[in-house]
Amino acid sequence: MSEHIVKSYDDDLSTLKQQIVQMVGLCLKQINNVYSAIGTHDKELSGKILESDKKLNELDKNITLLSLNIMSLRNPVAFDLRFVFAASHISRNLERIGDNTINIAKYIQQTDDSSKSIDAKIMQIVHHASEMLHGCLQALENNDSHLAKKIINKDLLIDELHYEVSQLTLSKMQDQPSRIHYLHSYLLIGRYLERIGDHIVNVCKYLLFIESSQLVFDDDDPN
Amino acid sequence: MSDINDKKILIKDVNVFYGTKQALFDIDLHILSQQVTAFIGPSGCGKSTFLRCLNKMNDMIDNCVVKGSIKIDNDEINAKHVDPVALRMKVGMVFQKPNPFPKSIFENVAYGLKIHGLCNNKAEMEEIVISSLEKVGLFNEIKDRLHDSALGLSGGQQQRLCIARTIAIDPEIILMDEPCSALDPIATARIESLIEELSIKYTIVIVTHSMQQAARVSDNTAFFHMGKIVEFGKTSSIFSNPKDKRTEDYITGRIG
Ligand SMILES: Nc1ncnc2c1ncn2[C@@H]1O[C@H](COP(=O)(O)OP(=O)(O)OP(=O)(O)O)[C@@H](O)[C@H]1O
Ligand SMILES: [Mg+2]
Repeated sequence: MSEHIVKSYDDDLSTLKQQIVQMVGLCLKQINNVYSAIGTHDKELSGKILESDKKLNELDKNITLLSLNIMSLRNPVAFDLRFVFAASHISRNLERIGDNTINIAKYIQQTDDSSKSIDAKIMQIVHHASEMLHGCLQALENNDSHLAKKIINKDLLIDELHYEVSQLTLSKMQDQPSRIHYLHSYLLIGRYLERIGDHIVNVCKYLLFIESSQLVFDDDDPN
Repeated sequence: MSDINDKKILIKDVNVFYGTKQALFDIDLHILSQQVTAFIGPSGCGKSTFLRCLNKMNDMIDNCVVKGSIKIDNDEINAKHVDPVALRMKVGMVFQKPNPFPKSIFENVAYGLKIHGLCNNKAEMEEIVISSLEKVGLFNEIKDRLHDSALGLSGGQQQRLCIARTIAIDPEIILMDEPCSALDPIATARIESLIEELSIKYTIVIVTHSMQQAARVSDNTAFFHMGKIVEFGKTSSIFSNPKDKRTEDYITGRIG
């Protein structure tokens, strides 16, 4: 894309993009923290995640305000309008990903070493989410709508794994009713991870929108 | 009057020259009936030249030659027998700078009616003058000053007077060349809302340098660039998802 005649307009847009990239980076860090905490049932995790979540909230606020500012002062149209509109939606979804990792951290503390098979499945989901999010970063930086579409399709795997975690947990609950309180955490962790997958999909839908001006809603097929 | 979505004006292969310098190249375009079509594009790209083709105003410019076909309601206006005066009754024009005659407000609106002999008597003329002033939302503001000089009106009032003068003779098409460029935002909003109302009955073609104005008032937009039409389509899609990079660069304010 060529430069704007008004240079400060370009500066605003690149600030917006930088802040989104920064948010994706923070989300990736949180998810990777979750990954390493699953096997270890890390009690420190919450503290770490809460710290970077503050930063995520702050960036979300900055992005929303800057988008609003650009819309009211610069009257963006065409690509610029789509980008600015999408930016605030993307940041909102990233902020939600952060919230979900906080919830996960809380419940990881309540798990213990006795359910290795579920731990392994959960780690698979987290690994998958991390790869999808990493893809988002690339799609964002290279305006790669093809990649964004691919990531959307990968969410199916998260949904499947989430289903398997639920089944595994439920059958363990039946076998060991005394441990229901611990096992219950896995149901919630699975659910939050599934939500994270959905938010990543939303991010990709807005990346697609920036490139193609096609808004994809939940029931639409992005292909 | 033709139906909505009819092609009111059909332009084919129009080339325009000022002496040896070519100003427009191979223009193909249609103007839909009872819709607003905006012409946008950088200064000097040929918007005004093209607008003037639509009512043969270029004939008045000595070294200007217009080639190609322009049909209004299927009639070729570049044919030899076409009377430009009759054509301009059907295709009215509003200019960038309000240009009222140095006469009274009433006389300004009545002028066209008189020279075209459109009224049978004084009462009929008065009725048309008043209703034209009402249509442009000017009558209530100036009803006590009808016989004062039009030059005493504000810029925005003068521009609405010029529009009233144009619609008094009941044209079918109204051409506007940057009609709001000398007006403040309130006067501009008035003219824009008037354009919206007028488009129910008239076919309107407007040249504007304001992207926001084109987006607000028009149904269709043609983007001119160096004497050619680069892109033409529904205004909503031109402004949300232009197909040509030159259009995108222009409307988003980028260096092309
Ligand atoms: N009477 C004339 N004699 C010679 N050249 C002319 C004449 N009128 C216009 N031109 C040239 O024709 C080209 C198109 O001019 P035109 O006035 O149609 O542009 P425009 O798109 O209306 O520009 P603007 O937005 O500045 O009004 C320009 O290069 C201009 O210099
Ligand atoms: Mg002009």
